[in-house]
Amino acid sequence: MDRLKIATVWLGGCSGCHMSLLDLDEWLFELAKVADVVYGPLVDTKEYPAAADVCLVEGAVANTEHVELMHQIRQRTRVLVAFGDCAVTGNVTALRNPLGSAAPVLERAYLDPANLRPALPHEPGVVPPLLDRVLPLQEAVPVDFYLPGCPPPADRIKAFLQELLAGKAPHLTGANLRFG
Amino acid sequence: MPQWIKIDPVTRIEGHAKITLQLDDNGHVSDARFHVVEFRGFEKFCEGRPFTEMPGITPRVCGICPVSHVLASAKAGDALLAVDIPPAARKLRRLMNLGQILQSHALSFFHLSAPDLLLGWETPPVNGTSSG
Ligand code: SF4
Repeated sequence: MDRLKIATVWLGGCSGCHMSLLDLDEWLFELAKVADVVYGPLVDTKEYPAAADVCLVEGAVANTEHVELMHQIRQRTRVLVAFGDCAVTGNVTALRNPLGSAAPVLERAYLDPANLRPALPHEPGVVPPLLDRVLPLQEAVPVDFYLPGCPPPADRIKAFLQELLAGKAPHLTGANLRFG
Repeated sequence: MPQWIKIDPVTRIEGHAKITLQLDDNGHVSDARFHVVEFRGFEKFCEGRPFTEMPGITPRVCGICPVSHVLASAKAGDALLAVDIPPAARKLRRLMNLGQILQSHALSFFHLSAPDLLLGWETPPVNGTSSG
């Protein structure tokens, strides 16, 4: 069998889901026997590969670059997984949504506390503008599977990946469906 | 012609970032910037929420150093209530914080830096991970 190409990506989140993935410890070696991690924050590849089998997406869609990246990733990925509560529901990242737009959070952080040349970040083409409304992943692109948890515990990630590796559609039940 | 060199994204670091270097006509670096491209606005959306929620929300500032943020909000809560926590609780907090430092160093070394040190700069990216 060909080696599975696994990608991971972090959007608007805290990296906690990736830390939970790394908490698989020794099992990562088992994973490395059958799969390559081809893209992600732990890999130096700058471009998303032309074709990946699985992509675990941590975080919510919070800025314009996330939207573009997700469209590209969706086209090039067979199985797209909403990895953790931020991707599944928006979670903490979406707590700013009731404020109506991105302006209040930016002003509070960049203008209110500044006593010297207050300015909002403006680096066109480099620093992506925030979306006014943070989106859970499935509002930006079609999602194949959901892996909830904040973060999903390592055992849950393992159970999920094992089913995927066995060529089955992962089906989480009971406590494994819990948020938080 | 001035030229830009962009490192995007910066990988194997604890966070989301890009680097841009601007070169002048002679190809010398005239500007170097490190851009942090992740922003969620905790400063604002935590305002007006019950303080008891904070130890649940603030650790999500960073999944790599959540303990620092949970302790900061717990201490702020202590201060609001004007309470002193018992010595055992203080020691437990300290222990948890030291545990996090250990974990973060292990992460930084084994998963983030070790591939460079052990496998060398020239290793192709896909093999240059902690499992390589
Ligand atoms: S789901 Fe939780 S652990 Fe994962 S990125 Fe979001 S806040 Fe962090």
